[in-house]
Amino acid sequence: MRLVETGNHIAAWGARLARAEVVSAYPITPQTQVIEEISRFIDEGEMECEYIPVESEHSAMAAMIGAAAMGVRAFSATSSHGLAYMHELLHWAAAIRLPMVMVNVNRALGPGWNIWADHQDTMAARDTGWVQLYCADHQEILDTVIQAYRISEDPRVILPVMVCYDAFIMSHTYMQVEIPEQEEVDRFLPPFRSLWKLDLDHPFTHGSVIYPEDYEEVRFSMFQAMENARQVIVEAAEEYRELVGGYHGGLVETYRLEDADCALVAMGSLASECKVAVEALRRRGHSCGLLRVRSFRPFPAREMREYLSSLRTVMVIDRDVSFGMEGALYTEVKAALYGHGEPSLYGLVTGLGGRDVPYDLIAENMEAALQGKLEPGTRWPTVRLNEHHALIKSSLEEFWKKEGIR
Amino acid sequence: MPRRRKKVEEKPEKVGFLTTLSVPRQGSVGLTGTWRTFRPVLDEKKCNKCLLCWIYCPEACISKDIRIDYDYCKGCGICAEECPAKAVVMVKEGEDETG
Repeated sequence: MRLVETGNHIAAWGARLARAEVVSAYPITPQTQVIEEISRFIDEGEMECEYIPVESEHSAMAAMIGAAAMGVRAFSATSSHGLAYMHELLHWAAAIRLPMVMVNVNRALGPGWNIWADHQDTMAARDTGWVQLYCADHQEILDTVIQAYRISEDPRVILPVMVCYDAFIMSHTYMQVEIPEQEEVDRFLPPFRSLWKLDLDHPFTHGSVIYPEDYEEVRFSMFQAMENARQVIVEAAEEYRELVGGYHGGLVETYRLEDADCALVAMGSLASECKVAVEALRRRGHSCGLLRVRSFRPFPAREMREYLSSLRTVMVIDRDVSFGMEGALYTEVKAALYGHGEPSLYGLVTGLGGRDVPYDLIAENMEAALQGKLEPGTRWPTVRLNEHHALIKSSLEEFWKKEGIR
Repeated sequence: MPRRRKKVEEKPEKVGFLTTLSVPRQGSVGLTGTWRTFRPVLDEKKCNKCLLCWIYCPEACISKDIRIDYDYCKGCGICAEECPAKAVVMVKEGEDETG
């Protein structure tokens, strides 16, 4: 079956085909139509699932943990402030080792209420122990939600998985998507069997005190599970291609890197934009390629070395910033390449809060770097002061004058 | 007092799957009796077997035949407080009933 749908409705289809049994969510902004569509599926009898509308995202994640602790396949969706609000329980879900899948629509954080594309929300959740996968088109959203359950429930992993895609550009625009048959998905994704669950015959206590003598091993176990996830993500992608169809790369997707001497590195919809930039650069005689990061956690360090260490120039594009340092992806790429080859490394922080990043801007920056016109390091190529900023400034200056501040 | 754990596995690569569950069983967090400053001492002659101490002990350290388990009794003193016959007295560790 072929559908023309929004990214949000396609994510809901992913949860439906994965036979999620409990969905808990807070249904108000910044929530998206993912949850709306799932509640319609349930209401119309198309999906056998318990829908728990809770009073906050913190409770949404708590209900997910409760459901997964009963050995049930749980799903939720959130975005920006919702993800921030559930932050404490993100740590909880990962450390107690419960498989579950949550979609996060990447939106900017306030203040300055902004519901457009920005990766700051999931970057802030980077170190919670969740696997983070970033999608670049609608078909990939569907396929990744289904794959995410396989990855999450694999006995070598047993960690929660976050499926991320960009607000508006992917969440609200329509694209054509191939919806696989339920039987095909069932062959790929067997029913969930938990490694542990709440059971009267085998009582467990959760979240009690854990001494310095015991704690480190639990974290090491999570670290190893994340290391194992590298292999599991690649296997899941391969097996999905075989049993269901559709492939978007393993930990990374490469585009025209075979003969490249320079490369762009990006995630999400910006990576799709980069493909057009690669074509533009090639028309101008530059052998450019693209390395799209699909899995940010675990980070594809080995792939970075394999594809980038012999190149002349690498430009990393971040839709986020770690204040006091640089774009988060830029830091990671540099760390992965340290001691492996010497490409000149450039970082662009751009597209924040849904700012449009046209392909020719990316191409121009890459070309300037190749011609030696840029200093290696971080640039904010789209920052401009406009009339609105000027109005804010003049208003502030009035206030300062009145108060005798400056 | 350091809590000692017997090493089960030396090599970190063999940690495998671990979670933050704890299994409820006697002694799962070690000998908590070592936390005690005062210990409850029962005078059997005064005891009327009302079993209020057995009911009130939050650590289930007093058995139904009124034996106190000093391996896990933390010395909270609730048994002494609740005993209507004043048959339980709290004695500082290292000292005897006579002070």
